[in-house]
Amino acid sequence: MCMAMQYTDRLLKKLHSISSAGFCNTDSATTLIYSEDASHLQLGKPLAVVFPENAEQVSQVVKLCNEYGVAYVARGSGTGLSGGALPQENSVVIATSRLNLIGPCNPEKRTVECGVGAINSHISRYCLKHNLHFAPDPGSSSISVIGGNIAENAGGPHCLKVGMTVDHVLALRWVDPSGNIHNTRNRNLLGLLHGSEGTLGVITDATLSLQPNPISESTLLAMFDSLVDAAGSVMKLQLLQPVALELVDRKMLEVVEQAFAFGFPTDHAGALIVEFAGDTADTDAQHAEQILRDCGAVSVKATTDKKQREELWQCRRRAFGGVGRIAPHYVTMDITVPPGKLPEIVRKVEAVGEKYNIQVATVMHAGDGNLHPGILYNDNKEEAELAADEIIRAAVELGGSVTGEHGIGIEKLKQAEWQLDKTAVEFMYQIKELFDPNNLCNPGKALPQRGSGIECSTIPDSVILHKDAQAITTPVDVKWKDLPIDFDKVNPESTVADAIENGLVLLEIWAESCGKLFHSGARVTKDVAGYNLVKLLSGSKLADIKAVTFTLNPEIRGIGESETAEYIAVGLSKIFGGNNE
Amino acid sequence: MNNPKLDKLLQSCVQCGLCLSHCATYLVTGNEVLSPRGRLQLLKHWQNNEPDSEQFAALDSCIGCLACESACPSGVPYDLIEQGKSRAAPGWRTRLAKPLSSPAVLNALSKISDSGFGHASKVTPRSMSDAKLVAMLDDLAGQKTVARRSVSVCGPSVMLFPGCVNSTMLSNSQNRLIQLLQSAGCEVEFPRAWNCCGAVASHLDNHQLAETQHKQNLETDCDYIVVEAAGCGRELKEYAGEKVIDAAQLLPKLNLELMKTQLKVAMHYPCHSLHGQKIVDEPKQLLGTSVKAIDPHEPEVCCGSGGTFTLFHKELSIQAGKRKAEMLTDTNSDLAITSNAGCLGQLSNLLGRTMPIIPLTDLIWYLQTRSKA
Repeated sequence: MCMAMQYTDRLLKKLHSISSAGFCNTDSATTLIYSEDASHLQLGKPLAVVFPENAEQVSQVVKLCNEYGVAYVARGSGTGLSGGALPQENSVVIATSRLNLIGPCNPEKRTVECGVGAINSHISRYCLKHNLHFAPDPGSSSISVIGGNIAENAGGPHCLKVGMTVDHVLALRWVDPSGNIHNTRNRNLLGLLHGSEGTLGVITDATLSLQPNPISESTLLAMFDSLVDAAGSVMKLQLLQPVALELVDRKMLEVVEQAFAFGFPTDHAGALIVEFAGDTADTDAQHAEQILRDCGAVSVKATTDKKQREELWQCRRRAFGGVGRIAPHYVTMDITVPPGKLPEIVRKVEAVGEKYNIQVATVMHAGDGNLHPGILYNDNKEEAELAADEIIRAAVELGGSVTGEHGIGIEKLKQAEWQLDKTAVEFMYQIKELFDPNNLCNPGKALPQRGSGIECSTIPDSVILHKDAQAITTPVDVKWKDLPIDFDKVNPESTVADAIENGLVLLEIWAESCGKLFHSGARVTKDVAGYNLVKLLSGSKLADIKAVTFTLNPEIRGIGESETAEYIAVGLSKIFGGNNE
Repeated sequence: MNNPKLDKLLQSCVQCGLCLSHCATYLVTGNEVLSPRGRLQLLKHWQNNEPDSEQFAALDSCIGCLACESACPSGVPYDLIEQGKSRAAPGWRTRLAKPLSSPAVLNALSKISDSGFGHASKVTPRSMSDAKLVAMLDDLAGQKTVARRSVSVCGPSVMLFPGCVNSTMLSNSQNRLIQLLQSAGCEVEFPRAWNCCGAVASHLDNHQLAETQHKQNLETDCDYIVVEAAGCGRELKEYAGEKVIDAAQLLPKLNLELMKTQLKVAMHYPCHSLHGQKIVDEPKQLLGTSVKAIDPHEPEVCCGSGGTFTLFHKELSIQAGKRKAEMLTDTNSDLAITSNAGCLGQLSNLLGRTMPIIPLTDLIWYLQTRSKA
């Protein structure tokens, strides 16, 4: 015991010496407060909380933790809902709040540099003078930091048309679990780091790509007497390409109304918020109004007023925080289903609520099929979790994901087993070992138990059109001219495999590596369960991709610069047995 | 301190963290120990454990600006932190409440202190090229004493609550407010005897003293008790509500005619008016189209003055004030306005030569008298 104390003291002394007073904090208030976050879960109290101001200091901390065999975890604003940034007992918390410099912004290239501790909304605020903004806007955007957004590959209402965080990050500066500092622009590696929940290293800086602020916007608020009808309108509205498509159920409307008195009618089953941007925003909104009425909306209100729109979005963003007004506890889910399956999952949620006689408050990023049903409870946590699991299983069975944007953390480790392919899980563990051989970098998060997972489904040998997901599954040797879609960016004689090499964005893959077949991804645009093997492998030559799923509006994003640290490149090709010169 | 009622209130905090970006002490330190959520977590911990000195210090670092209360989706009451703060307060400081809540002492203190307080009585230096603005500031600064006039009474009767700081350090501004009220036909009275509103005692966690002071301040037959300082206004409203009204709430009712100018004015909202009294739109309504009123980024965040906070947590106070000063400067306005002596002192100190800051009522007085000229 005494020896151990001395050992720890030596580590703390060295941590203290990295920078001035206030850098390393070990007092009881700090260790207590940093042992918790928005997830209401807890693993243990950290030994110390450090506040680095640059990548070099992060590197020093990581090297010291390795030397002393102490685990560490990077933490942003503590708004994570799955416990992904909770410290293990006697570990070191690397608080990123002082890595928060923003700028410069390059208006020509539409990019901005920032530290990972920069608050999401502060980035858009900084770029306002150039009429640019950072698109991902999770509910917590007023406080969550870009590092957390990257770790969970955050989405938000306005990611519908333009993609998640990974689609808006051009480069990262990060410290690997051995303490080496890297600058990475490689799309495959960026794809792997996004959504890896801080288990593969500590990111310190990012180069973000920005979107122009829309010239005109039009927002509709449609009330429905049936939540299923509201969910059913989503696929039809999608054809108009709205920039946001959100659904709020009756219980959540009550919460929001109690909290913010926005003026929502609370006697309806659900409210759908549809937003359009750009030159045709007004006419799109008019078309949408007709669709909404045809689908059963009892009232539709349109607004182009900036202040009203802002208030509406404020309500939406702060909805979950308001739940404390009506229940002391809740279990939040983050399931994703193909948008066409929304009515089915909504029915399932309603049925589960009735079966357990339990209250459910739901908000949905309906456009990307991402639902956050929150099961409210007073004391009976076990029952609430049972009910939640039933809903999560249903989402997986419908071709969706157990988590769209909150991450596995420690909260969804068990549920991840229901979705992830067994062989893919094994590859994920090998990746973790390659990056973090001492298993000290945020251990015990993001990956379900080794050896768990489901058997790989059969590799599709013909073209399948998924109307529910507006997606297509096809073997990669099929030529574009033989696919039932128009896509003028490719030569009709070329194959899907050719497009993948050029950076075709994929949702799902079936591949073979080291003689093992595996599957990764899901038929949805939002999926952060486990490491993103789809993004790591597509276009990389690491694995032999046999069949893929992509959306009916295919996109080619390019593969970016390919160089990456040699040990990572060599390590990855050893894992996948591929050829990655 | 096992208390089921407190326990229930604490449980209404869902730990979402949305309060963090509204908290001045968190924004300048990035340390969650100095955040509302952190402080509430400490209170939860106290339900079963005796706190230590570091935990006391964390609670004590709360400015009491109430921004977290406005931000909280679950409506967690700030009182919770205040209760914890009271327990954390050292006895010597609680005992300071009595001597400190006296106009004479505060005035004397302002002359010797180099903290924000000392600057409330000074005129802000300026480096403006706008001739009109310079003339206005000269005008406001040049008058040695502003006379109180009396005119025919046709409006409401108003008792002016003098306030320790306003009646001494900002006596000219106070007299301008009286002129404004009188010219709009109000009958203005002064209390024969008055006390500190009680805010200083509350800040220093001497709630017993605060209560005695409240009582003595609220005896009047007038229609309104008008208060200039946001801190005093909130304190008095908390205690006995209806008649107490902030100057920014009363003046829009008087249909004042204001001169139209091209001035760009950065708004600084005192916390105890914005969060404490929910005075959100009134200052801008009052200004109407007479100037271009501009909200800085983070309009809801505290400038760090916080009454006696500036005396006992000087470093944090200055850090918060610098951040606020930057936000105001970023608006590229001609001047900034506020309506609380503490904010005025803190910000004129930290804005230095980059931007003048004056009381809201001074600007209104100027625009009103010039409109007649």
